[in-house]
Amino acid sequence: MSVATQGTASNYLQRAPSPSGLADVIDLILDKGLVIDAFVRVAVIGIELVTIDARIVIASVDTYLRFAEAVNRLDLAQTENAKGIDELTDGGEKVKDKAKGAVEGIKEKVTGSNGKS
Amino acid sequence: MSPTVTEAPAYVYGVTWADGARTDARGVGDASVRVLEHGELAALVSDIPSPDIRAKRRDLLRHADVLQQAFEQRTVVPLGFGTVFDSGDDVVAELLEPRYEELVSLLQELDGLVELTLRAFYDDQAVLAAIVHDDPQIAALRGLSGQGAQMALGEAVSRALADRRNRDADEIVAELSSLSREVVVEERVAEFELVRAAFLVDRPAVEELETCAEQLAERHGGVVRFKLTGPLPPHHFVSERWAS
Repeated sequence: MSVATQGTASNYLQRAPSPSGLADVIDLILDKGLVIDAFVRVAVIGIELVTIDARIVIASVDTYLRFAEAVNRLDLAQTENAKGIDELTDGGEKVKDKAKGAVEGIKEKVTGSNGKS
Repeated sequence: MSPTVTEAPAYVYGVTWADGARTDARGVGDASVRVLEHGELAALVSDIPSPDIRAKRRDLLRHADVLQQAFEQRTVVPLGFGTVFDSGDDVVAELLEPRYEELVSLLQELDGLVELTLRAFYDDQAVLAAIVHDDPQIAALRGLSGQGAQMALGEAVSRALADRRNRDADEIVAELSSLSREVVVEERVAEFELVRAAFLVDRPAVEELETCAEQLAERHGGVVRFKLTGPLPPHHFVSERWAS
């Protein structure tokens, strides 16, 4: 549930009163909140997988070539104009999809470590 | 083992003030959530058939929903996902009773405070265009053929993006921090993400923080997309670990 605010900033500030999807929720409850060690029944090992979508830009040949390609492909005349909201929304979806993948990963880990499903 | 009441394992969502605590939420595994009182404290719990929890999509959402609903009535100390005691009696005997004073003072400290989270992302096309625009050296390298030129271009863009990210992130976090009691800034962000942070604020200051975010969004319009979520329970600000 999210509502864009009114006014000139509306395209660029999304305002949500509560977490609006799995990606948001994972950020809030997996390695946050009070943790009482002896009673946590989800294998902590799976939680690291949440950071699949959280990669820092690292200096690598692959990153450099990807950036070079992206910059070469830029249509500067077009990007001078304001970006459409469609493309921005698309960016958000990508993050969500990756987070979904992370949770699948957790399921696998947890199921595996319990030895049953 | 207590001979009375519930023998099913009890899943715990969080701890709140007993006074005024009530819930009709559905929790993990679709079980109904109940309030388990002990003195001034109340734990939000639900029965689960087995103590082995799997982090399923629906259950993760339910955990957050239960806390969100409780938080809209009273202050809540949120627990992380997946805390299970052998029974409801054990929640009292092993959490509420031995940790009573600590939980009471945590709730007192958090009374009147709310969490807001902010994520800020670059629009990739727009930020790359801005980098080309601002740096003549990058603009000159653009379109040159050959592996060496491509590597030089990519490296220069990567460095320019990192600089810009640091500058913008510092500015955004500093402005919002000035309205907050405490701040948690995540170090790990996605490639075109520049801020992932949580702010603990006095409830009356929420509006000010919103206005500040709107101004930031306007100032960075076209290049940065912001998402502000809350008021939320203080998930990021009770991230302690208790050994027992």
